[in-house]
Amino acid sequence: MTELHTEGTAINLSLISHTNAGKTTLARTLLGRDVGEVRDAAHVTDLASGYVLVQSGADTLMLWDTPGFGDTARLLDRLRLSGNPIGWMLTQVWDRFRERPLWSSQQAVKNAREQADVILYLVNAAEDPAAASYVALEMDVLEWIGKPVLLLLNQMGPPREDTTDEIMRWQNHLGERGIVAGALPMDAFARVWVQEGALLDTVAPLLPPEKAGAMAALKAEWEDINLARFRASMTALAEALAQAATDRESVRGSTWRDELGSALRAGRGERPETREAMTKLAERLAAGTHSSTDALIQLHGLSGKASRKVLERIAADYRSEEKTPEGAAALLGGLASGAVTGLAADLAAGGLTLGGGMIVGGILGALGGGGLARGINMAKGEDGSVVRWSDDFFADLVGTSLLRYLAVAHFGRGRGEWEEGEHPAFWHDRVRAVVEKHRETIDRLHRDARRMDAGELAGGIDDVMRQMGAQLLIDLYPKAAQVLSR
Amino acid sequence: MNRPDGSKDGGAAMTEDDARRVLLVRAIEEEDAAGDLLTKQDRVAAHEAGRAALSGAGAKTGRKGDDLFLARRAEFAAGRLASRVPAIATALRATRWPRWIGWAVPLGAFLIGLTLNELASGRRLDLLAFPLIGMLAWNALVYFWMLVTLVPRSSKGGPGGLSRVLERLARLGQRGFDRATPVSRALGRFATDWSAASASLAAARSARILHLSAATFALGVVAGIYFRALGIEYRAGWESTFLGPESVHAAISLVLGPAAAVTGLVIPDVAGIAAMRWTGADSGLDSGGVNAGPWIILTTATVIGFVVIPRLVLALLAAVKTWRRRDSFTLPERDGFYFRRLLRGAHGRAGQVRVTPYAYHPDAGVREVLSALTQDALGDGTALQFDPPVDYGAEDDWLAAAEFDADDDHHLLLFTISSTPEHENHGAIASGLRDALAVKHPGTLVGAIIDESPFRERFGDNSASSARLATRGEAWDAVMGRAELASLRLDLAASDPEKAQLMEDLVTGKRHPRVIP
Repeated sequence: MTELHTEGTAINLSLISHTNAGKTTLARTLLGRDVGEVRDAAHVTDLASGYVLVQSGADTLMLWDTPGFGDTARLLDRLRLSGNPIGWMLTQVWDRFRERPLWSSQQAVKNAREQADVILYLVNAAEDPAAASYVALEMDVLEWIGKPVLLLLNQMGPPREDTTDEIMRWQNHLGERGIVAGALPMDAFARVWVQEGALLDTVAPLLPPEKAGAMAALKAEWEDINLARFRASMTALAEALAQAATDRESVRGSTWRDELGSALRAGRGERPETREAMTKLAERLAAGTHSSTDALIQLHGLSGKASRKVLERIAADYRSEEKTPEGAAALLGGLASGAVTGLAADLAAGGLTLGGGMIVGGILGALGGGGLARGINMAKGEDGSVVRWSDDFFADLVGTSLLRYLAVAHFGRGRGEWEEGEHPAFWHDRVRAVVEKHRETIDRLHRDARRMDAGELAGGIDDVMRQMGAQLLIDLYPKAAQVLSR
Repeated sequence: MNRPDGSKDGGAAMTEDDARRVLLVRAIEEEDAAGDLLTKQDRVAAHEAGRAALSGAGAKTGRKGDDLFLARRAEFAAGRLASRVPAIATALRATRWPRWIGWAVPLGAFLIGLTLNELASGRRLDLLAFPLIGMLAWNALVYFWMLVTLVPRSSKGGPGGLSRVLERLARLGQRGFDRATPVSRALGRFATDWSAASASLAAARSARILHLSAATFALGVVAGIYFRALGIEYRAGWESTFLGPESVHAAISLVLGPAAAVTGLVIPDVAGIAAMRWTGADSGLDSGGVNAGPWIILTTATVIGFVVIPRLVLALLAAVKTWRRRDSFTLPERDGFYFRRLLRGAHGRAGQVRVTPYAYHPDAGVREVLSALTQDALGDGTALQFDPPVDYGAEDDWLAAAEFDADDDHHLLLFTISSTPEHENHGAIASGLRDALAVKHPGTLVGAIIDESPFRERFGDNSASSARLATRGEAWDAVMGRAELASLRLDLAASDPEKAQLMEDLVTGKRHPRVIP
């Protein structure tokens, strides 16, 4: 490429793979934009195109989406016959439509050779490495190109607790290929930003020395953007939590002792006045959940078509929790499920039915039986009794907020084509553990809520949310510690 | 082995009872695909029993040997089934032809003939009236009809109306079954199969009984006349509104002439006939006619010569036909898949299937399931041979070097749906194999199986992954269709009857490639 007069440095990452491994889908996820064409078939992308991933001043980190390799074995046979394989390949004239696999391979090689600083070689982890023998063949081609290669494992399926086995399986298979500098899981449908950070960390040492400075700046920029997004997400959740913690509703014309008594005794025998008060409380909680989820979706650039899918998934998530109807988790599951299902319906209706009966019905349904006593506290108010959320309920609310964050943060861009169902069960366990660890602080904040307003309380909740969010991400992805400790 | 019909192993291979059991076992095996009634173990044992009969003394080859194998196999299986499910034993019994019909109907006909005279007109033997002339006319009509239908032997038509009635009589023992269970479905099917298969045998049996009954009826009528003639004096005469003595003489000479010639009795001339006319306004008893003695003899001789003897001959012919059909039963759909499948292993050579995985290393579980499905589809003795997997891209070398066995009945390519299908590779091996075998061994059926189990295992079972699986499946269909190879997507994690059915379609060539232009 002839050098144009440019001030900035461009660092180029080329996504290369066998056809239909999911390059374009991953590019969409990493960029947060719907670029290119996505379809489950061979040779969908036919030209290499570059996109700016991060920009820092004049320096840019570019991501190149390329057409996939195809018919690799025949291509390689011919390449081997030529003294200068890559040179031979680049001088061939193939018909773009009739000899699509060869044309696509040529485009990929061209891009890798001319643009790439680091090649991100994507594999379909759903395949058995031993059977996907094109990988070895394509590694031969990449060796001729001579650029450093990072192995990305796509199509991993739902997030898993431990992906080392999978990584080892592929690394072992590729053996002592000198050019493979590392392997990372990177599912276009279920990856999270800290994994992308790990990718950038792995890329940095592979770059030519003259680009190291630019890379450092770009990495810093990328971290700023993502940390800011993380913090903003926690703040959005904290505000909603502060609202819920300070929220209360007085019950008309009754003494709080009667109410508490009947609620504790039967759980179902509440008077219409109490029920009315609880309905109002639940309505406001639903509205808060709605707006904070919306805020998360906006922050992660998933608005539009994707946001509805996010909501549906969160709802599905809680429904799955409901299957274990024990204690607070069940209560909260039912509650949030009702709320979020309502939200999804609300969204489908263009946001016109906010606070409709469906949401409230879901919440109150969840509060039936023993849940009532656990979920709602009766307190003595100035004129009669007052209902507010209980300590246990609030702690669970914190937990589901974190789960909601995980759901949104992992949501990839391939959703137009497909999506997984429920979130993995181990998330719930991890969240529960983190909340338990911070339980004292949470309870203290909830007690403070009796004498503070939401604004005052939000700061404290925000702090603990950030701690817990960071803790959770580090638990799930140990490499995140580097970024989150900043 | 104790055989209820008493036929010997040395005789013709397939008797009626054999065929009945074969069809019953077929109905059971096809309706009870899961093997709940006749287990896999039973089927193997039955197969062995059939083979043992084949290898015994006087071993038969060819079609007779095949029939012997099928008969003994079914006998074994039916024995096990009948001892387990009473309804099956009942069905076997109920579909047997009831022997009592063979003598009860002719006896009934004789008795009816015998009593017919009691209802007739007193002492008169009316030369021109029923039952004698009527019976002769009826038989003449029957002979004429048989002569007419003899020319275009329509063996395809089912049994006639009467024989259908008889058949229904024979199925009296059958009860209505609840169609929901495999047994009831199988028995329902067996009833249909059997009545179709045994139709021509039933028709022959009916013919035998009807001819015999016609003869006994005629004998009954004659015997009745003699019986009464002992005690009363019959007067023979005639009367007519239109006919004169000349016409009556001509008619009587025509009908009784042959009998007269045989017995030496003389038919009176026209004047004599005229004298026999009943006279008197009220046709009194003694106002005409003559002693009926000679006429009774003439009539009897005529009936025996024209009805009894021919009918007995016809009954005998029908009986011979019945015996022949009973002892050498022709099975319907004898060349159909079920029998071919059973027979593949009969002479020691079971079906042979070769499987070539491409860019896929199927694990032991997958191999086992595929093997089980193939056996379900092709027969218990089917041998499955797995080639070493062909690497992605190695299809040209493999096709060039591959040696094909002419004895391979089927050659299957095995892919995984986790791979993205590519026309240049997956498609190339598919069309290459198809072309190579079409030239070298056109007898080998080629097909492709795309295993869904790795994908399902990884992505779980939910609506999103199903949708993705469907899209990927379409991509595979397109590539296989372009290669013009019949293909089948199967989850090889487990075997079930539905999959075996699909597999059967594939390996029997019922599944056609979706050719995409």
